[in-house]
Amino acid sequence: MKQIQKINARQMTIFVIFYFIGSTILITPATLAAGGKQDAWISAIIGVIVSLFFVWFYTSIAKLNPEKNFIEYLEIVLGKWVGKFVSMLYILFFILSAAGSVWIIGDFMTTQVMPATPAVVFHIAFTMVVIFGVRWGIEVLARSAEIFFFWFIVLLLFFILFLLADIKVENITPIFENGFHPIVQASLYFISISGVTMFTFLLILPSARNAQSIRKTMMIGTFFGGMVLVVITFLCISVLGPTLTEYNVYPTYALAKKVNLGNFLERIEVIIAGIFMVTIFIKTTLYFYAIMISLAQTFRLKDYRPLVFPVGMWIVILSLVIYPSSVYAENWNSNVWIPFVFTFGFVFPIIVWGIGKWKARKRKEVRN
Amino acid sequence: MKLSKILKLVLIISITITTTGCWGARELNDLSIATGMAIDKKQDGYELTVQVVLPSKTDSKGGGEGRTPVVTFHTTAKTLWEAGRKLIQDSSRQIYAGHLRILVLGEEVAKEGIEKVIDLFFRFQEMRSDILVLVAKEKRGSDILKVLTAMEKNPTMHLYNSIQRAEKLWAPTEAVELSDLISNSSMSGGGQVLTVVELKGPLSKGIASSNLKKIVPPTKLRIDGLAALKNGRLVGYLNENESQGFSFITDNVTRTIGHVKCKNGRIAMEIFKSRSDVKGDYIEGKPRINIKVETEASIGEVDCDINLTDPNNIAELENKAEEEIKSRMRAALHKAQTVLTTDIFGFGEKIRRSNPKEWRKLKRNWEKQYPSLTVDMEVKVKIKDTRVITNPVFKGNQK
Repeated sequence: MKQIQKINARQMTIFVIFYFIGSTILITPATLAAGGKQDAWISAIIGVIVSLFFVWFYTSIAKLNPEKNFIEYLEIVLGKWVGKFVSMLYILFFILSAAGSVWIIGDFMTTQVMPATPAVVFHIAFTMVVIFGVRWGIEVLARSAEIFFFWFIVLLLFFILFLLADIKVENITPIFENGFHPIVQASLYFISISGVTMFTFLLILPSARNAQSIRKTMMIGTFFGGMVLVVITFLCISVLGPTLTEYNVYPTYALAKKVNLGNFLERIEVIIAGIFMVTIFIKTTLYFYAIMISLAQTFRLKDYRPLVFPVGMWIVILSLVIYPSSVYAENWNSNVWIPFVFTFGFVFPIIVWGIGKWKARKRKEVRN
Repeated sequence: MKLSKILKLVLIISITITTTGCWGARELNDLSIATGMAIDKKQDGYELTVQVVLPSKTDSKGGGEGRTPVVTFHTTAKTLWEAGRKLIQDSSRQIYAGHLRILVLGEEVAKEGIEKVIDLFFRFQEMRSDILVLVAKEKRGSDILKVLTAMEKNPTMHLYNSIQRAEKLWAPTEAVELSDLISNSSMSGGGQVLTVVELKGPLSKGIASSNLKKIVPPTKLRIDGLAALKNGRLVGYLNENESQGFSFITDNVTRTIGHVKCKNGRIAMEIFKSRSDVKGDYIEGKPRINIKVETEASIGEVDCDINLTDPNNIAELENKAEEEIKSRMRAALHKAQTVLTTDIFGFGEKIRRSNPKEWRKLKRNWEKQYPSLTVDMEVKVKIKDTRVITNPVFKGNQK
């Protein structure tokens, strides 16, 4: 399937920023603090640096064949049938990830904001918007992301500005109390959820208008998104303290509750929560878009749009049953998620990249 | 074409109607807004007391005769959450805890350990972490929420305001927020303080509305001193001097007033700026704490004959004030180190921050080491001004 709609470099950067921040902003400070304690922000910095390496690697794959998306490339490199089989595994991965993102929204809303509302309402409402976004195509999504971006920046600046007075620097000392090992270990989850999932862009990058600058675009976006996460983690640790950050399921929301400007501007956490809504929305939508592209490619469809609504319904149903409980989700995230995502984000891509490189060289030799 | 337009219109209308507000919307008249909560032991369960406002009685015109502006419900259950829900049996409306301002712990609960009761306050999404936590000295927490107060119609607001103001203007108290209870600063050493509320006068008079009809209310609530906790359990109280010393050490003095002796009278000074710096360190393999306090003061009241335009006299007063502050700090240290043996100052945390490796070794016998911990202190008082006038007005003693 040809990706007719094109997006420009700025829109791609915004996509990368939003996608990188994704649901990480909501959950990861807790995971980082559980391992790295008061050094969680250092873990976040390490996470961003390693993620940049991953992004570098993914853009190398994209550069091998900039016209084709990853699923097309799989079939070229691995042969038709093996390629199709791996593509289907990827579709499965994207479906699970999209459902997982929707579940996070539902869990967040029901435990923190509107406890009396059944989760299914949020799942349906949220997925509806995602469905519309994907149906209208990547260009519409990119433009809406641009509009969101302004508000995202405004809210983020407000958020940071209002919390500056509450920062207690002593909360981040002593630095390196438990050595370097736990800090690096804590960053692994960060890398897995933000850095490794960036391979989704291998399916979106062919929509970029200027294929030459994709590496620069991706790196800038990742760096900026990463800095946002580092700042948020730093604020969590320095305002809430490592203990509270660790105990909270959604520490960033707990942080937003702390916003209080002279007893006048307070209790605005739900407005602040707009930040996470936007980033999780973009991440889910891009997962969904990746499902559609992969499906269309694997089954040689001319147009993916007829499939959007049925798959959307799937995702709603799946998101309701994907985790039986929040405790299960936590266990899954810490035990299964990391090997799971590394298989798709590292093992397969490196095989594909290796074979692709080898084939390219062979072709050259034959020509010579 | 036309049909789809109509369809769109129907969709727009139905969506706008159904998506306003949230599912579990509870209007103000379905809720009772709790401002104060008290927890007490009862057999092997808890007694939960909740003070809610009566909406019609708190505005300026209301507060009519015969009815109090707040009402207190209490119930008993094995766990606090059950108790909270059971309150509906008495109150006809569901309790809304989002505006909760204070949490009073009965002395018995505090003695048994606060960690048993605070989990709910972090887990329940309605609660906010800026609730102030108090201990009812020698009383049940529910007693505190029964007393009528004169200055504020709502007794919990009376407590809330008086803690906030006392902390700023009169140092011997500290507002302890819920989130402070599990913040790291107090965790390493195992010590913690809580604000203390005392019931002055007989309870039986405090609960009657006649308490408000007298010029001198027979029963009052007073914020006084601090409660010292060790590993989450109440072990004792600090008196006014000790609490003030505590505030100086922990850098919690915004303003306070104290006095020094001079010849045949006293001079009162207001401290309006105080900065304390506590450093933990290791000297010759032994942990050591160094406290540096720097304050600025002004002279506020003089009842003896002294020439305040003489810089030497001012320097002497500064020295005396330094000694006075030191003696209060020493009193606090003595109480905490030798009498109660609890690290309420967070010294353990200071040592951990300056030397985490040594702290790991020290941590195991911190209990034994703490009472004999050497604490050096250095206090500097700077008198900035003598306020409106210079020398004392009354010079009767000169003759």
